[in-house]
Amino acid sequence: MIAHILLRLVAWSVLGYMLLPLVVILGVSVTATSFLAFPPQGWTLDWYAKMLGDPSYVASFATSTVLALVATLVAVLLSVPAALAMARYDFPGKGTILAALTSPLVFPHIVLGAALLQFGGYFGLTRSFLALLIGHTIIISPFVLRSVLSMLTPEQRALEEASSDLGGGPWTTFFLVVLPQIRPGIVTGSIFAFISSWINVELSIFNTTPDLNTIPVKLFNYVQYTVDPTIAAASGATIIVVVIAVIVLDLCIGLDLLSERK
Amino acid sequence: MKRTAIAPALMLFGALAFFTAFFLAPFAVVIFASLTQGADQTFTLEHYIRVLGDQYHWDVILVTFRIAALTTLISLLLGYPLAWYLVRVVKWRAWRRACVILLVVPMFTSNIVRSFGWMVLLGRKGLVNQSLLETGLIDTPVRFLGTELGILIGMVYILLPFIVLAAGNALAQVDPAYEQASDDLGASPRATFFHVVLPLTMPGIISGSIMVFTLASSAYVTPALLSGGRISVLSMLIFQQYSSVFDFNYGGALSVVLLIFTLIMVGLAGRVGSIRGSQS
Amino acid sequence: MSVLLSIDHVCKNFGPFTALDNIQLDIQQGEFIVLLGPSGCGKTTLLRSIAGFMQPDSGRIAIDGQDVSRLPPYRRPLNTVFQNYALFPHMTVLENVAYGPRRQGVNRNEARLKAREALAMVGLEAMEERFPRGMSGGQQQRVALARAIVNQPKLLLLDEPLSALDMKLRKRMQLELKHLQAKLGIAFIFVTHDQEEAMTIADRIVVMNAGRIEQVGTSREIYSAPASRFVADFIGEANLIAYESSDNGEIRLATRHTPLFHATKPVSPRGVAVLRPEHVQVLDAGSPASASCHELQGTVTDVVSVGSHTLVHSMIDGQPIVARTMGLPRADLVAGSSVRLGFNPTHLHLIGESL
Repeated sequence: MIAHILLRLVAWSVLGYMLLPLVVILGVSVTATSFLAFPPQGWTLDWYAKMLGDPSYVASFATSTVLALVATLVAVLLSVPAALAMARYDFPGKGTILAALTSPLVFPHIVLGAALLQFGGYFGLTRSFLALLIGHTIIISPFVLRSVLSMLTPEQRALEEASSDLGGGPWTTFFLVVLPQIRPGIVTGSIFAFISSWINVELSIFNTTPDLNTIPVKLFNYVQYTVDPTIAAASGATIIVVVIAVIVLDLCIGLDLLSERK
Repeated sequence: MKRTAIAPALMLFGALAFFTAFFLAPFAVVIFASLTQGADQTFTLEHYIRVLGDQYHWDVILVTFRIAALTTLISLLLGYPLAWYLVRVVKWRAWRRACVILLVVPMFTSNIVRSFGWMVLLGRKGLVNQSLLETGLIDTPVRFLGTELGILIGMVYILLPFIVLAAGNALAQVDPAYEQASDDLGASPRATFFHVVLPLTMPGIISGSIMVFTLASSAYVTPALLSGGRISVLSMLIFQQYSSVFDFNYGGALSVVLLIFTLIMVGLAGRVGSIRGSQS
Repeated sequence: MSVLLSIDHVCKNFGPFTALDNIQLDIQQGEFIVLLGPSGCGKTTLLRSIAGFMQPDSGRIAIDGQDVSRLPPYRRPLNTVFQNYALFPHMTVLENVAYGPRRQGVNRNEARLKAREALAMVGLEAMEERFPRGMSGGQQQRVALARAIVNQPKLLLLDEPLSALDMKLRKRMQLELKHLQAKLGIAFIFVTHDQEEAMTIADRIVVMNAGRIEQVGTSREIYSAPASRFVADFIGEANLIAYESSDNGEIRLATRHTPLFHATKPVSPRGVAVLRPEHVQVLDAGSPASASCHELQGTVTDVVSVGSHTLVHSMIDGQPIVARTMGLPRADLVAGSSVRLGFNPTHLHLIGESL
């Protein structure tokens, strides 16, 4: 059937389209030429070596990672109690509060970055790790909130009641019954939160300095002025890390996201 | 367990305080700045008049939303079939998982890296032009960078996975019983698709599309890199005001315009969701 | 026996909806009480209020004289068996059952010992290292039970614990629960909407409807002397026939416009008479009615037989009457045929209309 063939054609083309830029970057990152050549002419890992030997690149990788880790931690500390409160209690404005707390997901990040710059300026809260941390925490918290909230089902509530019925006070119930149950939600949310922070440009760009840079911003700045394979190597490195991370994620929680439910 | 109002308030306190201090307050500052001018903060609408009265701005706004609309449309046209393929056609779990990984890896890669890939691909000597030249489809290299087409190609790349996941989810949740009933009543597969499957998946697709449209209209990195300095979108103007021109009042007005638009879209998405009684 | 649980003028509203309307109830030590009623009648709300998961708007709940109305669940001397068991999925059966004692400060070894004893009582000693996930509904139910009784609570609350089980298992568990309760001597408060279940296991039944208690009594009392139309209709099958009584105590049924009999005790001037189908006989065509039997004549509308007994639905003077006979139906009883029914007036139970 024509429709069948056409569908497969479109699907495979789109998949190829998704693969293409990543392959190109990886290819360019190993070219022996000093300009971006694809297909690569000659093979070398020199560009990776150059990148790894460059302290500013290494520092940027470190900054991105530490920033993402701390931001995720803060997001978890803020969002888990909030999720618990919203699942357990009924109060006026709950819907609004939930919508508000998840709104950073669709709000223009460039505007938030600008707003934080202006706002932070009054308090000296700009161009610092703390300034970066604040912005990142805001935009990644919704991932943790939603993920944990999805685990707080009525069945989960019944478990909390059972614990209380059997003599467990609020803290005991939290650590012995709630936490073990919501752990998958915390982990999944944290992974998405971490990644969102790691790849962010629109917020970081307002608060980075030559000494305090994240990898995406560094690449963003470089790419507009000099385009040499070192950038490709740095980009390639991030791609490799993501591929490994996603494969690990798939092995751990299974990414069969689109399976047909019978 | 509604013992007192204190417990939920305490638990929400951290998140709410943080959110108010570092999300609401900054936005309030921006809105305030957009409505004032000068050291003495006199109230004025001049910034909005400047934004909305200037032809250049309307052009930029038009370009922004045109690109966003086309991005959404193309993502839908390419994404729905892919979602269908993954949910309905693919039989091997391993292959479907591999495809999902292929979708997720770009999502977890920074926009800058992805756009950089397109800069390489779409350049004068890039792979796309090379292939087109070699197959004889064109005589001289086509300019992609610095055109809306180039930006589109990059934006669709960024936002397509969202559509695929939204459509895929919607498709996976359609109860096979509905299609069987349609078959039983004598409908051809084509009719069943248009009259049963498509409408049932519509709420999920609409809300996914609205989200993509919203993200597309506020996108910064991809248009900035692929515009070659020749095209401006709203987010680029905003960034300019805050990072080089330092006119926070004017930048504020531009920001508010984008914000209001985003709010309208988010509101629409919410209404679509509740009208159809679907879950996003 | 002394009063164990005292529920005093307890009210609860959810916005305009009245869930509990001035509930007044005393429960004795060692009693098996069933809260019975249709969905939405307030039985679960009442149970949750006793347990502490719900705060009444007004009223007082006391256990052994001590006011527990303000206490959270983990401070009340009672335990609950939840409808869907609520077994902790990340703990083994033994850990689940030992949870309560551990929270009371019992050390780990002793808690495990107690847990084993409780599991033995419900026949699940072999399952202690299993996780709830793979177990059948019946097994999970027993674990939930063991988990609740191990703490030797003064009172055990059971929220429709058998509703997820299939019929055969359910009937078996009803008896097992009854034996267990007798053995433990703990008062049970059991919630169900199944009136057969209630009649099987309860010492006393509390019939509830629309947030109110309609009647409290043994199954015998409730069946033969229902206090209201609702109770009569909810428990078993009933023929409800309107009646009027004259000043001199003569009762006149809506089905026949001749006085039937004299009331033996004062009754309201009007109301409804309850006649159970098993007290309505289908008279043979030729035989005359006996002296003590009053006769009704009408037309058969439906004959439904399940083998062991038959229900004959008839229309008498515009009033539907159901008769229950043993075994298979008589051959000549078909829809449309005329029929003579008989009953003894002493089997009538009168419920007066409240003024």
